[in-house]
Amino acid sequence: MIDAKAPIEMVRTLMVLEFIFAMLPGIYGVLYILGQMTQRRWLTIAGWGFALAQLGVTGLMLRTGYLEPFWARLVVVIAVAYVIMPPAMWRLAKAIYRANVS
Amino acid sequence: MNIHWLEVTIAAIVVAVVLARALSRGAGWLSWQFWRGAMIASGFTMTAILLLLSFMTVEEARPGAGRIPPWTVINHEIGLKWDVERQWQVPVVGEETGFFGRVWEPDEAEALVSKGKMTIQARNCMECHTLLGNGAYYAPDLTRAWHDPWWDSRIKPIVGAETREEAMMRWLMNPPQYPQGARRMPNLNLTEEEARSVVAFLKWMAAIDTNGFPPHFGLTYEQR
Amino acid sequence: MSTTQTRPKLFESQKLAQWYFIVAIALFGLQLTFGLIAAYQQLNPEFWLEVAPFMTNRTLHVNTLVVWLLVGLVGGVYWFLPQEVGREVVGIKAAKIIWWVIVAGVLVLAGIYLFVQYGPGEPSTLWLIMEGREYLEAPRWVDFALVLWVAIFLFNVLATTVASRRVTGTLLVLIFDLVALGALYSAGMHYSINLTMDQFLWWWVVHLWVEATWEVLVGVLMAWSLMYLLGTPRKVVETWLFIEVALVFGTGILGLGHHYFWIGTPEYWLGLGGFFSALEPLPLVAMVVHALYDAGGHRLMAVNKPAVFWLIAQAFGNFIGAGVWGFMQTLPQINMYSHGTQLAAAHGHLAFFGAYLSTVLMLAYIVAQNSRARITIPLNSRWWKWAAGLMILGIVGITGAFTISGFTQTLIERAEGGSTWAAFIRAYTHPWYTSTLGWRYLFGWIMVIGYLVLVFDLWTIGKRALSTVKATVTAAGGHDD
Repeated sequence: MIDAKAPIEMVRTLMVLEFIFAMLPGIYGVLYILGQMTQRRWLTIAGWGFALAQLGVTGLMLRTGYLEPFWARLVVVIAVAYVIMPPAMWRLAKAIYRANVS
Repeated sequence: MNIHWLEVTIAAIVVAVVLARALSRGAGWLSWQFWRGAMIASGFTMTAILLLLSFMTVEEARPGAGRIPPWTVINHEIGLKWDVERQWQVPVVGEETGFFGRVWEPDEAEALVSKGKMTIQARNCMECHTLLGNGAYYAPDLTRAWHDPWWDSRIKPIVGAETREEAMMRWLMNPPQYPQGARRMPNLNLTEEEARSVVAFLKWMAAIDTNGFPPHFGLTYEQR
Repeated sequence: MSTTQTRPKLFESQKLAQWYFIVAIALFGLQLTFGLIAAYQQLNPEFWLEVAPFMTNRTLHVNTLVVWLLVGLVGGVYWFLPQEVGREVVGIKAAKIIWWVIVAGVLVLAGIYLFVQYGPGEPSTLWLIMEGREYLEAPRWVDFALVLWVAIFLFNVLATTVASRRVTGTLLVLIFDLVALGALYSAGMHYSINLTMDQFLWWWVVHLWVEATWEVLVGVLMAWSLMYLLGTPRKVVETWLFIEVALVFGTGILGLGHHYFWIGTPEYWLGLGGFFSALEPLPLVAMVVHALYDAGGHRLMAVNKPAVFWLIAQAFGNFIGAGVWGFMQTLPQINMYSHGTQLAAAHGHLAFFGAYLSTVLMLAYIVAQNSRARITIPLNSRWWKWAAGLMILGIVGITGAFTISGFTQTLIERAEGGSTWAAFIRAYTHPWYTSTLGWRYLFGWIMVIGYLVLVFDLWTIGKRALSTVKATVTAAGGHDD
């Protein structure tokens, strides 16, 4: 998968990027939901900022050249899923409550 | 049967979604009916695919089927070579050179490797070591321990052994006597028979095709 | 401002649950003790090398972990089940008997681990003394005892549901989940010479427990807890439960493949396992959103403050420990280098704390609140915050230490060193690695102090408020009812 000479740099770089990649959707989700619930627009926008940052980190991961095409595409699909998740969950939460709380 | 993971993945998701919509009788994704359907659909679809793949994997993981060596591999010289296509090390099986001075028949080899595995379990080796990377991290990974250069360069002279398997056996019978660092392995009171069988198991395990794990075994960065 | 009310009569099942939680918290203490000893042995490798080497302490640390968490989760079901169906649990006598058998068995097992430790390489050792597979070290007789325990537990849930003629969505999910949970355990009850098959089936137990069926069990307990703590309507919690189960099973069942990268199984598991594994944090993000929405909607006014805290902590801890720390090493390109290093321990510690310890502590506080003669609402104290703060500080420190030492192993032993014996030693003697050992030990002590405060708090919370209220009421000449 990886060029024999690459490992140390690759491990260091990709692990850090993966960590950030995984952390960002959490922060984005929390800020987005808090923003929607408290009606504070700046929180929601801050959340979007983290979502954008996640797409940025995805770009960085692709730019390292350490990921073969299959894995690069996989990472993009996953990033998109995480970006969609919080607004989707928010819409779902509102719909559930509307339907079931009188 | 050549399975490509992408086809399986797409099939799994498509089937689960279609089934979910069918079960919820077209209710939208914002309704509880859809998610009850999705729960049932994803549970059953993913389990079915897992079972199907498991049957295939079990077939491919039989000793002698290609990825897993037959028990008689212990009679052979084994090594690791770089596979250019797969971009990692793969085990290679060489000449029949014998093990502990003789050639073991298939059922003898199986019994010996089995005794080795049973001993490894009975002595709880996984509670310090890792096998195929699984276990505890207090002691070295044993996946390719058979190939470790220290058996020949360090251990043979200290224990006075002629062959690698002899060196491994003698060392295992009293590890704290020959410490190789601040962390000493305790003496687990292995009998000679048990120690020999453990070495057999380690040799057999070193010939498993592990998709390259651990990477570049035995080669430091400069040596690659 | 708190009020008290008379506690309704407890069901027999709930009295059993109280015993479950007492034993769970006690086993937690044992787990921490053995963890501390193991951590010390990393600092001083000669300590107790002859009498109780690292392998013995780790076995006890890991086994008490699994048992106390499972006991806590099962206890949670015994607590909520009679309330869910409005009647006593069917077969409660059998449940009580098997419970004391299990307690006795656990004590015997701990004794075997500590004083016998291992046996000859014979089948009899695997049946009686030591089976020696990680997390499944227990000998076969223990496996049978556990199967019996789970069978009776499942009977309790099933028979009670049938007898009550009331099948809620939550109960259906629980029943299916328990059948799967029990059946999966049997996947580990075998001996295989072929290590690849051994580990293939072993992961059916371990992964499909903690990354599938246990998650669903927690989902069920969370649903009941939300109804109790925040008054969230049933239909809402059940819909969330369906969503979470759909996502957990949708990602976690094939996410099992992330354990099949390197064990001798075919290459298609690399892509399959990597893909679904990378999606496994998705339901965890959903749970964070869900927890915030439900709690925020009630402006955090709840009948039991420490329980709500641990509920929120569970959502975040699960995401960070299991989701983030897991994702960080899940892509095969990285995992090839980090597999079998202390990074796995970092992930394991934070994930178990976030996902399961938090759940059991939430339940423990609910049980504690309802175990007093009078129920205090809202339940609160000064001490639960100290306990939580210390334990969270402790686990963050431990995880951080493991992360750094694991990272060191990944770079030096694997990437640079070629994974040999020499490379292993180079890694564990490297200053980045050795510097973490003292910190890990220190944070372990912080965890222990937090635990002691927790025990004190669980024992006393809701009791002092009672005496204050009683005194106030009596002094004012009012009735004490």
